[in-house]
Amino acid sequence: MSSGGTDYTVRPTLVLGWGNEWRGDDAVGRVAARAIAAECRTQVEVADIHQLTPEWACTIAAHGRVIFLDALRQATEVQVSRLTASPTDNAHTAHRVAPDYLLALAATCYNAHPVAWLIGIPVQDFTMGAPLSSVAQRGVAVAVAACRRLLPDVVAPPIVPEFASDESPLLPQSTFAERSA
Amino acid sequence: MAKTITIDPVTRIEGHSRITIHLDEQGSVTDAQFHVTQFRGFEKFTEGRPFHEMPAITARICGICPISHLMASAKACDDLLAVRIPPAAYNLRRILNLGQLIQSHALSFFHLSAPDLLLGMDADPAKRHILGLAAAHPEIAKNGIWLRMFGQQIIEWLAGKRVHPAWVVPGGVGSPLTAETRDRILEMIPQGITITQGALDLLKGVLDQFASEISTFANFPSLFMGLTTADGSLEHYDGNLRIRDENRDMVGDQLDPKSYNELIGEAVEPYSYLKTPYYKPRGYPDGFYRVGPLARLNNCDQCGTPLADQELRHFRALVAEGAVLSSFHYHYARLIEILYGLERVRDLLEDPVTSSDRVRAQAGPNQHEGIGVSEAPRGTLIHHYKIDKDGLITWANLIIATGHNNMAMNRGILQAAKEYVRGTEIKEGALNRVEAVIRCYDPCLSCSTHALGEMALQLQLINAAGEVLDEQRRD
Repeated sequence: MSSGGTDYTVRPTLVLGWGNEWRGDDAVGRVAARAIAAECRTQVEVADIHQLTPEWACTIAAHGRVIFLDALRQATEVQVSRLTASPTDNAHTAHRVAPDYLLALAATCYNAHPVAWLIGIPVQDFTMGAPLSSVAQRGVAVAVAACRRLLPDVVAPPIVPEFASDESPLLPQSTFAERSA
Repeated sequence: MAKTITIDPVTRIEGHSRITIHLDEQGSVTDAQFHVTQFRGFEKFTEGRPFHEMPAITARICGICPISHLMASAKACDDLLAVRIPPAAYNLRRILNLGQLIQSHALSFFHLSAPDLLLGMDADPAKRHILGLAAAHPEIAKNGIWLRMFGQQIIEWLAGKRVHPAWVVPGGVGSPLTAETRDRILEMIPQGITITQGALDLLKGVLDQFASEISTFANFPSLFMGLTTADGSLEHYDGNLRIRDENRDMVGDQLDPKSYNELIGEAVEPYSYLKTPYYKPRGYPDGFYRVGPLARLNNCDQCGTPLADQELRHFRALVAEGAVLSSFHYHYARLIEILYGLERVRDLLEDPVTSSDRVRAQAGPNQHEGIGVSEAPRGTLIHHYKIDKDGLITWANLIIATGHNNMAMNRGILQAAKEYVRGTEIKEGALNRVEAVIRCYDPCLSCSTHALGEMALQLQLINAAGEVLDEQRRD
């Protein structure tokens, strides 16, 4: 596996949404992932899964950029944050792991360093069997738009400055600065 | 008027457990207890559900071994239907079950235990995990990921998705095997075998470094229980129960799993939500037994596949006679079972019967009680349901693999604590060794209490007056 995360024009993008579809808004990342799969045809692979587990490191390592989609508690707006390959506090377990942990595993095992973001979608209701709440449904639409802007055919370097605006509700300034660098 | 009962805050649902070690007035260890402090109650809330929903519902007990619950549950439902499933479905379920065995054992060995085995029990805890292992031995970590992914891939290709597939149904499976799936799996098996044999060589090469742990990690006489075939071969999907003792003398053989109630009692201890099963004829607590890979290999006469049988002979040679008693060797047994699983999956895929289009027997409920028993990665799994005339569940009982090992885990941590805990402070190496005893069993606390979660751990040292002298946590 080659290293580096900058060659995203060649290696595909992975969109990975996860959650429990039986628990209301917990499924929001998966719903967003499927919406992206329906919209985007180029250079994007989409997976919607129940939970993140260690073997996903291998898949992640094969991609130039990775966009994670998950439910975000105690938030009112969709949040987009850049992720780095750093081990988290769940390195001792394996039943489910965090995105930055998977990035660390991809980096350590495969010397692969995809550019990665986490899009957190506000949620409200985790009732068993409940449909997505209105809050989560609105979040899906915003998250899909945010994700679309991160995809390589849209977010290729020439149009990156569009995200430079301080008015952007989706990308905190620090995130843009990091990407610009 | 409808009522909503709210439990808030909901605590201890993340697989938390606690170990307490009790000291006498001289500071010597007198007792140790493994507390599982979570509870969810699947047996209760499934009451009133249509029986055919049970495989899908009970699979949600766990994200690591949902296939085990699918198997036992579907078998219990087959029993309710009073049908014999088509031979192709029988083989396909077995392949799926072995796919899970491969991925679960790979996760346990490479991800959870290899850091102890290859970096050392006393290694820096900040690095003693899979990332530390990957930094020191990247090829081993990659092999572990590959093997785990292969097991998951078998599940996904057969059943549609890796976690909580709905493919296993009462009466059979949802769809037949395609030639493409068969060939894709077969193509990958040689690499799986190479990786597993490498891991076995690796483990055998470091056993000498763990003489102390081997002698003190739940190394004691006990009974061993598991399924075997009619000819005494290793079996994970079907077969009958066999029980041997520490001398490998037969205590019971070809026992009908549906008579489990006559064999197994369940005690309840006030310090844990995890029940404590025991072998009824010997009473509680004398009838304690172990299940899982170590028990299965102690029980069977042979694995039934050439490479695994070759390794089984080495395994038996660990002891001069009798059963392999140290729970440290669960790791060894796990790898042999992966090898067996790979060989057996190949055999089953090459069997023309497996490719038949007839994969489901259709029927309605024909009896009011059904029992399904299979071997999960961690041991014998029992699902037992009763239904009313409309097919709704009126009663359910689940006896989970990790639960069978409860008494052995408790005795194991006591043995390790007596060896490694000194004075009134818990040293990191001692903490890790006490944890590692539990890790040998690869317990799934989410399964065993039918709750959700992972294995966070709290360890307390308590003196004769009941005061907490020291406490260590891993959250």
